[in-house]
Amino acid sequence: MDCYEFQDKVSAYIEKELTLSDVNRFDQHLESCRICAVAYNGVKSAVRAIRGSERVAVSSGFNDRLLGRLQREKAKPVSKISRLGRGRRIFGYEPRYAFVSLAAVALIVVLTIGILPDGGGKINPNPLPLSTQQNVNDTFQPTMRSGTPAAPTLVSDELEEDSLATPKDKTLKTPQDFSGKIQLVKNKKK
Amino acid sequence: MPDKVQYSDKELILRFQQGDELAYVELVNRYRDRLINFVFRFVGSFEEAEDIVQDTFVKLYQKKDYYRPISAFSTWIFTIASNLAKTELRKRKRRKVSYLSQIGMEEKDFDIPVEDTTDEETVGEYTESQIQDAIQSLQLHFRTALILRDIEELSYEEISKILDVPLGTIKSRINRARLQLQEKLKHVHKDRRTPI
Repeated sequence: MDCYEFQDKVSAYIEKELTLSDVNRFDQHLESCRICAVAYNGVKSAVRAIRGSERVAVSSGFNDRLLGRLQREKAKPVSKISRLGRGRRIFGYEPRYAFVSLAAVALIVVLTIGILPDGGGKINPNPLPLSTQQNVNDTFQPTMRSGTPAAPTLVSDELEEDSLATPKDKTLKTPQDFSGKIQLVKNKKK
Repeated sequence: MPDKVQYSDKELILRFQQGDELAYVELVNRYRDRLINFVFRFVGSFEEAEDIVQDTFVKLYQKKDYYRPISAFSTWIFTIASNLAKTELRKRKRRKVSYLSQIGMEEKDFDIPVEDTTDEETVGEYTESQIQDAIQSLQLHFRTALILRDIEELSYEEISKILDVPLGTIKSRINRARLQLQEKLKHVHKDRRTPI
């Protein structure tokens, strides 16, 4: 046993929690190391001092003061949420936490609806930006069927000027409009 | 409540939950001195300790329905007292910081009254105030565990539940707290032996 292990096990030794083999190793180190022997005796006397130290007691009139405080606490007006909180729980939460959680959920829902396009009614199946989606679909040419990749061609001048702009004269396509094209790509892979 | 019947803590708190206020008074009588010892060693001021113990019993009165008999009542009440004592120490720290900022963080010499310990009661080799000072100088997590073990004489398992810390960590903290304490008290010894 080295000095580190010895110091780690001082309390366990004092409280007789060590195994027999550890007790033997501890005793051997205790006899051979003077520094650890001093530390061990110091811990023993410190524990003895604390355990034997003076115990204090509450001052006289403690209970009367406490009962006086309780009377004052009872007289205080209780808020509605506090009244609900006395032993009752909503969905397993304390009422105040339940209210806060519900408010947070409601806020998230409202914000989500506000952020989604068309008031959140439809979910965009394609994560690309709207203008890019249209660009991809518009440039899809039948030449792809030949098996050789088509050279990139610019189809729309309007889009070249400002790729982020949404073309005004084109209507947005719904997911169903692409189903035929998706099928084409699948056939090509086969 | 009939006289001469020794109820367990759990029975008393259950009776109190059913509205028996005498059971509450019995719990106060049973725990007030144990709690004052714990909190006094923790915060170092008797007046503050008594206020904290009063707060603990007010909380017990107000939150009695939160107690569930799955854990020991002593664990629950010590947890309340420990949390209140920690809050008090945090407040004290904040007050100290704001006081230091008010005086402009200037170094000032204060005359600290020297306590006359000649008449003080000694425990073995040390005086009460030396022991108290040594405990107070420990870090909070060491101090709490040490007081619960060596003053309150609670089991390691109970301390682990009160502080919500794994058993192994509690054992290690108590051991380290004791080693630090003996270091501090060793210096007390040296100082005392130094000839004036």
